[in-house]
Amino acid sequence: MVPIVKISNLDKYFGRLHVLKNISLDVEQRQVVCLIGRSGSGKSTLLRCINFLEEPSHGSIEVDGIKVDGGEKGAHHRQLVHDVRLKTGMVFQEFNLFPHMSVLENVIEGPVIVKGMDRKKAIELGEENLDRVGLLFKKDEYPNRLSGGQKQRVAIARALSMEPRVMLFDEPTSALDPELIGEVLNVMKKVATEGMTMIVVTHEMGFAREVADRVLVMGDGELIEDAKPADLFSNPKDPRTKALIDRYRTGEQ
Amino acid sequence: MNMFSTRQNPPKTQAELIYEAQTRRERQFRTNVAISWLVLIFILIILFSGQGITIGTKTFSTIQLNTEFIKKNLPFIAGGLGETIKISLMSIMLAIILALLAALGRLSTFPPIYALSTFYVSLIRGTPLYLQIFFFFLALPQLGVVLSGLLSGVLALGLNYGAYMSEIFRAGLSSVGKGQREAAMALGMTPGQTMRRIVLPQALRFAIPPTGNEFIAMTKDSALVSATGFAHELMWRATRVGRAESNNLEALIMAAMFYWIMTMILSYLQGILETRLAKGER
Repeated sequence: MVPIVKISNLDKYFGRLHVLKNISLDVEQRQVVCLIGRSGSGKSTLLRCINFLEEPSHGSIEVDGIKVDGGEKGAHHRQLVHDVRLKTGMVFQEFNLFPHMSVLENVIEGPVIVKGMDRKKAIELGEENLDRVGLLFKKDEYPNRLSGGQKQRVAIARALSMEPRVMLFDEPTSALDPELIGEVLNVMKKVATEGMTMIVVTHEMGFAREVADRVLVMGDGELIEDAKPADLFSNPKDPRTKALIDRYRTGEQ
Repeated sequence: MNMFSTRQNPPKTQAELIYEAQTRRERQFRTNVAISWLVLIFILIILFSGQGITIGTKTFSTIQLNTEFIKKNLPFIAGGLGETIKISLMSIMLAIILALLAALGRLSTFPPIYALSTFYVSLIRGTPLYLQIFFFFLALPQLGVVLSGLLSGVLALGLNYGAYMSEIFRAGLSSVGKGQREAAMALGMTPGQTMRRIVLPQALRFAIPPTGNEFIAMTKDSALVSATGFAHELMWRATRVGRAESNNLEALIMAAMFYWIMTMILSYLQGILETRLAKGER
C-alpha cells in the first residue's frame, strides 16, 4: 500500500540549531499516529513541516502523491506547498479560531475562499461538520462565547470542512482546563474511527494508548522509537521513552 | 459551612455586598457630576445674560451679548456646519487610506517601501498642520498647481492625520497574532487572502475607536482651513460676520457652541460604538 504521508530524510535547522535530524517516516492511510516526546524534542516542528508552516531545510515531504522538496523557493514550490495544505487539515494548541467570524463562518471560510465552493454547499458541509463535533447549536455564536473545549471542537470542524486526507493535531488539548480535555479527545476518537488519517502531537498518553495505531517517540530531533502502543507501553526500548512512560504512570496514580 | 443552605433566601455573600456598595458609590458619583455640570452651565448662562446681579449690597454686571446680531447671523454661521462636516469626512477618509498604507509600509521587509513610509510620517509630523494647509494653497500655485481652498484643506488634513494615525493602524495590525496567520495558511489561504480576510478585518476593528477620536479632533482642526479664505465652513463664517460688524465676541461664541455641541454628539456616538465593539458584536 502506498503511504499517504511520506517523509524522507528530513532536516530542519533553526539558525545553527539542528532540530530535526534526518527523519524518515511513512504513514499509511487511516492510521492514527501519535507523536510523543519531551518538550523541545522536535515533535511539533516535525508536524509543522508536513504542511510547511515550517520550511524543512533538506529532505522531502510527500502527501497523497504530491512531493515537495524542502529548502526550495519560487512559484512552483509555493504551488506545491499550497496543494499539500489542501490535503492537510491542522488543529492548533491555541485553537486560532477567527474571532471576527461566527462559528459557521469560521467553518465555511476555507471551502468558500480557498476552494471557491458555492456558499450554500459550503454551509451544508459546515453544518454537517459542526454536527459531527456536536456544536451545530452554536453555529451563530462568536468564538469568544465558547469554552476552550468548544473552541477546539470548532477548530476540528473547520479543518474537516476542507475535506483533508490527513489531519494534523499540534498538542490539541495542552491549552485546555483538565475538565475540558475529555470532550476534545472524544471528538478526535470519533474522527479516527470514521477512518481519518491522523498525526497527533500530544502529551495525552491515555489517548495514545487507547486510540493510536502507532506511537512515535521523538528525542533530541530524532525518531527514537516507533511501535504499537501496547508494545511501547509494556516494553519501551529507549531509556528516554521509559522515562516518559514512567512519568506518565506516576501522574496517573 | 452549609448552615444557610436550608434557608429560602440565602444572605448575600461578602462579594455581593462589596459589589453593591461599589455600584451605589459609582451611581452617586455620576449623579453629583451631572448636577455640577448643570450648575456650571447655569453659571455660564448667567455670565452672558447681561443682567445685573445683586449679591448683598453689591451689584455685578454681566456680559451683554448683542442678541440682534446673534439672531441675524445664526443661520449664516450654521450654514457652515455642512462644510465643516464635509471637510472632516473627506479628510478622515483620505487619512485612513494613507494611515493604512503607511502602516503596511512599516511592516514591509522591502527597504524602499519601509523607508517611504517612515519618510512620510517623519516629514508630516515634523511640520505644522497650519503650514501644510498654506503650502497646498499658496505654495503650490507657484509650481503651477492651483487647488481650491477646500481641496488644499482636505489634502493637508488628510496627509497630516494619516501620518499620526499610521501608528493606530500599525498597532491594529500587530494586535493580530501569529496564530491567526498560521491558521489561515494551514487552510491554504494565499498571503493576500490572509491579509484581506483575516488580518485586516481584525486590525480595522481594533482601530475603529481611536479613529473615531481622531475624527472628533479633526472636526475642530478643520477650522484651520478657514485661513485659506476659500472654504466657507463654521470658522470662516464666524470670523467674516464678526469682523464685518465688530461683533467678534458673539460670532466666535456661536461658532464655539456649534463645535462644542458637534463634539459632544460625536463623543456620545463614539461611546455607543465602543461599548458595542467591546461586547464583540458586529
